[in-house]
Amino acid sequence: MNWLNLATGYIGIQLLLFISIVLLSWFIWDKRFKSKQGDEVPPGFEKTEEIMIDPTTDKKMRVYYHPESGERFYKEEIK
Amino acid sequence: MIIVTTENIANYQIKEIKGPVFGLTVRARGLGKDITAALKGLVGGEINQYTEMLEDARKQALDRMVKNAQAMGANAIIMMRFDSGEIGANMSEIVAYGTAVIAEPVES
Repeated sequence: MNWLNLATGYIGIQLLLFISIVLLSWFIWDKRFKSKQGDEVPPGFEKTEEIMIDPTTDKKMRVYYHPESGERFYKEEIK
Repeated sequence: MIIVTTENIANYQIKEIKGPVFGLTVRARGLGKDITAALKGLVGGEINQYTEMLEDARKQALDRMVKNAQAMGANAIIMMRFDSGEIGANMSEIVAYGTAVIAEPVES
Protein backbone atom coordinates (compact mmCIF):
# COMPACT_ATOMS: atom_id res chain seq x y z
CA MET A 1 0.00 0.00 0.00
CA ASN A 2 2.68 2.44 -1.03
CA TRP A 3 0.19 4.82 -2.66
CA LEU A 4 -1.83 5.00 0.59
CA ASN A 5 1.24 6.11 2.54
CA LEU A 6 1.97 8.71 -0.11
CA ALA A 7 -1.61 10.05 -0.01
CA THR A 8 -1.62 10.17 3.79
CA GLY A 9 1.71 11.97 3.78
CA TYR A 10 0.50 14.46 1.19
CA ILE A 11 -2.72 15.22 3.11
CA GLY A 12 -0.73 15.47 6.34
CA ILE A 13 1.65 18.04 4.87
CA GLN A 14 -1.26 20.05 3.43
CA LEU A 15 -3.02 19.99 6.80
CA LEU A 16 0.14 21.03 8.65
CA LEU A 17 0.70 23.88 6.21
CA PHE A 18 -2.90 25.05 6.62
CA ILE A 19 -2.72 24.95 10.42
CA SER A 20 0.62 26.83 10.34
CA ILE A 21 -0.88 29.59 8.19
CA VAL A 22 -3.92 29.86 10.48
CA LEU A 23 -1.72 30.09 13.59
CA LEU A 24 0.69 32.60 12.04
CA SER A 25 -2.25 34.67 10.84
CA TRP A 26 -3.89 34.62 14.28
CA PHE A 27 -0.82 35.39 16.40
CA ILE A 28 1.52 37.37 14.17
CA TRP A 29 -0.08 39.01 11.13
CA ASP A 30 -3.64 39.81 12.14
CA LYS A 31 -3.06 42.54 14.70
CA ARG A 32 -5.18 45.51 15.71
CA PHE A 33 -4.25 48.90 14.28
CA LYS A 34 -1.90 50.28 16.91
CA SER A 35 0.62 52.29 14.97
CA LYS A 36 0.06 55.39 17.08
CA GLN A 37 -1.15 54.16 20.42
CA GLY A 38 0.40 53.89 23.84
CA ASP A 39 0.48 54.92 27.48
CA GLU A 40 2.97 57.77 27.07
CA VAL A 41 1.98 60.69 24.86
CA PRO A 42 5.01 61.66 22.73
CA PRO A 43 6.23 65.27 22.93
CA GLY A 44 4.47 67.83 20.75
CA PHE A 45 1.04 66.18 20.89
CA GLU A 46 -1.90 68.22 22.17
CA LYS A 47 -4.91 66.87 24.00
CA THR A 48 -8.20 67.03 22.05
CA GLU A 49 -11.82 66.60 23.08
CA GLU A 50 -12.16 63.55 20.84
CA ILE A 51 -12.83 60.34 22.75
CA MET A 52 -13.80 56.94 21.41
CA ILE A 53 -14.78 53.78 23.20
CA ASP A 54 -13.43 50.71 21.45
CA PRO A 55 -16.43 48.50 20.58
CA THR A 56 -14.71 45.22 21.40
CA THR A 57 -12.37 46.06 24.28
CA ASP A 58 -14.52 48.83 25.82
CA LYS A 59 -11.36 50.88 26.36
CA LYS A 60 -11.89 54.63 26.43
CA MET A 61 -9.35 56.20 24.09
CA ARG A 62 -8.51 59.90 23.91
CA VAL A 63 -7.06 61.42 20.76
CA TYR A 64 -3.96 63.62 20.89
CA TYR A 65 -2.99 65.70 17.88
CA HIS A 66 0.38 66.93 16.66
CA PRO A 67 -0.25 70.30 14.92
CA GLU A 68 2.98 70.23 12.92
CA SER A 69 2.98 66.69 11.58
CA GLY A 70 -0.80 66.21 11.50
CA GLU A 71 -0.45 62.87 13.28
CA ARG A 72 -2.95 61.57 15.78
CA PHE A 73 -2.11 59.53 18.86
CA TYR A 74 -4.46 57.36 20.92
CA LYS A 75 -4.06 57.02 24.67
CA GLU A 76 -6.27 55.03 27.00
CA GLU A 77 -8.15 57.17 29.52
CA ILE A 78 -7.82 55.57 32.93
CA LYS A 79 -10.70 56.52 35.18
CA MET B 1 -7.57 70.08 13.75
CA ILE B 2 -11.29 70.74 13.96
CA ILE B 3 -13.37 68.04 12.28
CA VAL B 4 -17.08 68.59 11.83
CA THR B 5 -19.81 66.93 9.82
CA THR B 6 -21.60 70.24 9.38
CA GLU B 7 -21.14 72.93 6.74
CA ASN B 8 -20.20 75.62 9.26
CA ILE B 9 -18.25 75.62 12.48
CA ALA B 10 -19.86 77.35 15.46
CA ASN B 11 -18.00 80.56 16.43
CA TYR B 12 -15.61 80.16 13.51
CA GLN B 13 -15.49 81.81 10.13
CA ILE B 14 -14.16 79.98 7.10
CA LYS B 15 -11.39 82.13 5.60
CA GLU B 16 -10.11 79.84 2.90
CA ILE B 17 -11.11 76.59 1.24
CA LYS B 18 -8.16 74.33 0.55
CA GLY B 19 -10.12 71.64 -1.29
CA PRO B 20 -11.33 68.08 -0.86
CA VAL B 21 -9.35 65.85 1.43
CA PHE B 22 -9.41 62.05 1.68
CA GLY B 23 -8.08 59.28 3.87
CA LEU B 24 -8.36 55.77 2.49
CA THR B 25 -7.63 52.32 3.83
CA VAL B 26 -8.34 48.72 2.92
CA ARG B 27 -8.10 46.22 5.73
CA ALA B 28 -8.62 42.48 5.95
CA ARG B 29 -8.94 39.89 8.63
CA GLY B 30 -6.43 37.05 8.65
CA LEU B 31 -7.38 33.45 7.91
CA GLY B 32 -7.44 32.48 11.60
CA LYS B 33 -9.95 35.09 12.71
CA ASP B 34 -11.84 34.77 9.43
CA ILE B 35 -12.57 31.11 10.24
CA THR B 36 -13.67 32.08 13.77
CA ALA B 37 -15.90 34.80 12.33
CA ALA B 38 -17.45 32.35 9.86
CA LEU B 39 -18.23 29.93 12.70
CA LYS B 40 -19.70 32.76 14.78
CA GLY B 41 -21.85 33.68 11.78
CA LEU B 42 -23.51 30.28 12.01
CA VAL B 43 -24.72 30.84 15.54
CA GLY B 44 -25.50 34.56 15.29
CA GLY B 45 -24.63 37.55 17.44
CA GLU B 46 -22.01 40.22 16.99
CA ILE B 47 -18.99 39.24 14.94
CA ASN B 48 -16.26 40.89 17.02
CA GLN B 49 -13.56 40.04 14.47
CA TYR B 50 -15.28 42.19 11.83
CA THR B 51 -16.26 44.91 14.31
CA GLU B 52 -12.55 45.24 15.16
CA MET B 53 -11.61 45.32 11.49
CA LEU B 54 -14.06 48.11 10.68
CA GLU B 55 -13.22 50.13 13.80
CA ASP B 56 -9.52 49.95 12.93
CA ALA B 57 -10.24 50.89 9.32
CA ARG B 58 -12.31 53.89 10.44
CA LYS B 59 -9.52 55.06 12.75
CA GLN B 60 -6.84 54.65 10.11
CA ALA B 61 -8.90 56.43 7.43
CA LEU B 62 -9.55 59.34 9.80
CA ASP B 63 -5.85 59.57 10.74
CA ARG B 64 -4.84 59.67 7.09
CA MET B 65 -7.44 62.28 6.23
CA VAL B 66 -6.24 64.55 9.06
CA LYS B 67 -2.61 64.12 7.98
CA ASN B 68 -3.52 65.01 4.40
CA ALA B 69 -5.47 68.07 5.55
CA GLN B 70 -2.51 69.22 7.63
CA ALA B 71 -0.24 68.78 4.60
CA MET B 72 -2.62 71.02 2.65
CA GLY B 73 -2.22 73.73 5.28
CA ALA B 74 -5.75 73.45 6.63
CA ASN B 75 -6.72 73.72 10.28
CA ALA B 76 -10.22 72.29 9.95
CA ILE B 77 -12.24 69.78 7.96
CA ILE B 78 -15.91 70.46 7.31
CA MET B 79 -18.63 68.17 5.92
CA MET B 80 -16.66 65.09 6.98
CA ARG B 81 -18.16 61.78 5.83
CA PHE B 82 -17.29 58.10 5.77
CA ASP B 83 -17.91 55.81 2.84
CA SER B 84 -17.26 52.11 2.59
CA GLY B 85 -16.99 49.37 0.04
CA GLU B 86 -16.02 45.75 -0.30
CA ILE B 87 -13.01 44.32 -2.06
CA GLY B 88 -13.19 40.56 -1.97
CA ALA B 89 -14.97 38.51 0.65
CA ASN B 90 -13.03 39.57 3.74
CA MET B 91 -11.60 42.96 2.81
CA SER B 92 -13.16 46.25 3.62
CA GLU B 93 -12.41 49.64 2.14
CA ILE B 94 -13.21 52.73 4.17
CA VAL B 95 -12.69 56.28 2.99
CA ALA B 96 -13.02 59.35 5.17
CA TYR B 97 -13.47 62.56 3.23
CA GLY B 98 -14.38 66.17 3.71
CA THR B 99 -13.42 69.71 2.74
CA ALA B 100 -10.16 71.06 4.12
CA VAL B 101 -10.49 74.70 5.16
CA ILE B 102 -8.81 77.41 7.16
CA ALA B 103 -11.14 78.55 9.89
CA GLU B 104 -10.61 81.47 12.22
CA PRO B 105 -12.45 82.26 15.45
CA VAL B 106 -15.07 85.00 15.11
CA GLU B 107 -14.28 88.09 17.16
CA SER B 108 -17.31 88.90 19.27
